[in-house]
Amino acid sequence: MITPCLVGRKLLLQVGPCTVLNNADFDLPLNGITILRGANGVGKTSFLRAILGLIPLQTGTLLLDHKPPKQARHLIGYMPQKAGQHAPMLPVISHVIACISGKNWGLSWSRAPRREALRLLTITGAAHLADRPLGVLSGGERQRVALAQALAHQPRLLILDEPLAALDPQARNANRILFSELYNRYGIALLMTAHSALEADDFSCPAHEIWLEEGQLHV
Amino acid sequence: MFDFPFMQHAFVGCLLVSLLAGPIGWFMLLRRQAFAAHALPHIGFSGAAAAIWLGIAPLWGMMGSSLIAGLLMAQESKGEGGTFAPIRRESMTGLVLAASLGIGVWCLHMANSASNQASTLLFGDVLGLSAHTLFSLGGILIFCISVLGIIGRPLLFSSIAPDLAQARGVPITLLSRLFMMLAAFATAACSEVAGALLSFSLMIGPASAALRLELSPTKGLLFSLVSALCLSWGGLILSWYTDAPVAFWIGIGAVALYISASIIQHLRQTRRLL
Repeated sequence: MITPCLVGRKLLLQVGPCTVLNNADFDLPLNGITILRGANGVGKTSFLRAILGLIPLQTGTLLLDHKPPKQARHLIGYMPQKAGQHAPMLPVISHVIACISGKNWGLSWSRAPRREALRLLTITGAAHLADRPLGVLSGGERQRVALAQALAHQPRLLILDEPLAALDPQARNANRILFSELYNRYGIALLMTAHSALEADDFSCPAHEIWLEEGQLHV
Repeated sequence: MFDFPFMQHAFVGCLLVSLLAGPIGWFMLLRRQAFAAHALPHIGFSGAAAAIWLGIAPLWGMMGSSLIAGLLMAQESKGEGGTFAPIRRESMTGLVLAASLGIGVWCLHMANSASNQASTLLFGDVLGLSAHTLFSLGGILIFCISVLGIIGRPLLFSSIAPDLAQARGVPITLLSRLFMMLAAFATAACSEVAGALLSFSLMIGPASAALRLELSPTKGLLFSLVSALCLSWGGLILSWYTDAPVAFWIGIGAVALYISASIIQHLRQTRRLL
């Protein structure tokens, strides 16, 4: 497995009045599962969005595998904090298919995206939900669908924003097992934010914590 | 009924408009833009009124004003996944609607032809479609369906998972603008058949039934298209036999379609529980 590496040099990231990173330098090998911690409002989501190229940096260089964020998008899968909020009446499989073929322009009658969507739903343990409308699913089930969507273009790194928030202990435990499996079986590194009592030891794969605090990333 | 050229024109006009209204309406509801679907024909009415005043064809005035309004609405939808985007878009839609209705009334006043022309614009005149108008509608249809075919998959992606689409580099602002342009053209075309007051029933009725039935995108788009055709042709036939306006039958038919879809869905869910 090749470990993706995130490198930041002299980073300044400001979002409104909040200074997320202030002249920050770091070398972060994303081996296994990386848990990003920090107080409320410190800018964890903004930092993740900067890695995705959705928020511009004021100054400095941020590279994922030697590529700036916008050029590294194909390496990253993303699961936002509030996934599954749109089009609740469409079947689950349609949501995943849209993510698989959504970057391509023009019409296509291929059945390949459907097969791929079923494969991804199988990986995340949501294949039995494929024909159900997204809106009737529980929070844990929606997370699994969102994870399948994030895996749509075979990323090397998954960025998950609060993937365990608002889940009951059973669903949280099931997701922890799933995250470990994604690394152990498919070699996908994970970078996630977490507020809950989640420890690196909870995973059956390499896991470590990093802290975002006072404008610096403590690796 | 089919011996009369005006009825032949009416059936062709309904066909062209339905092919457009079904798919565009489905996307509008999916993107939670029902208010925009309601507002755009009214805004188009103002453009048509201005066109009458300026002495040009009302269809072009409708398209122009709807296009400007659609782009303004899309401008306020920037950052689709953001918390404020839907509120800003709805506010802008309401403001543009209010301003354009005022301008429309003023234009009709200046044109000094309020009563006759206004009622035609508001309630439609499908039986008065000329061959020239049909060619214009055909051109609009080909253009809109071609663009929708090109942007369809990214548009669906950005409609159901805007955050994810943005993270993958899908140009969601450009897509939003292009779609509102298509919606503007579609509402202007629909207004020719059902009038500014009821044209959105042709866009929203079939699409709402398709979404109520929880159909997949392909099935939902086809259902919307066929239903819009049934509504408009059915309205035309019923209008012929009852002498009631076509727009009346389209409006009533749209509601009946949604109620039928709700009953079917209720029966399906009951059967699942048994």
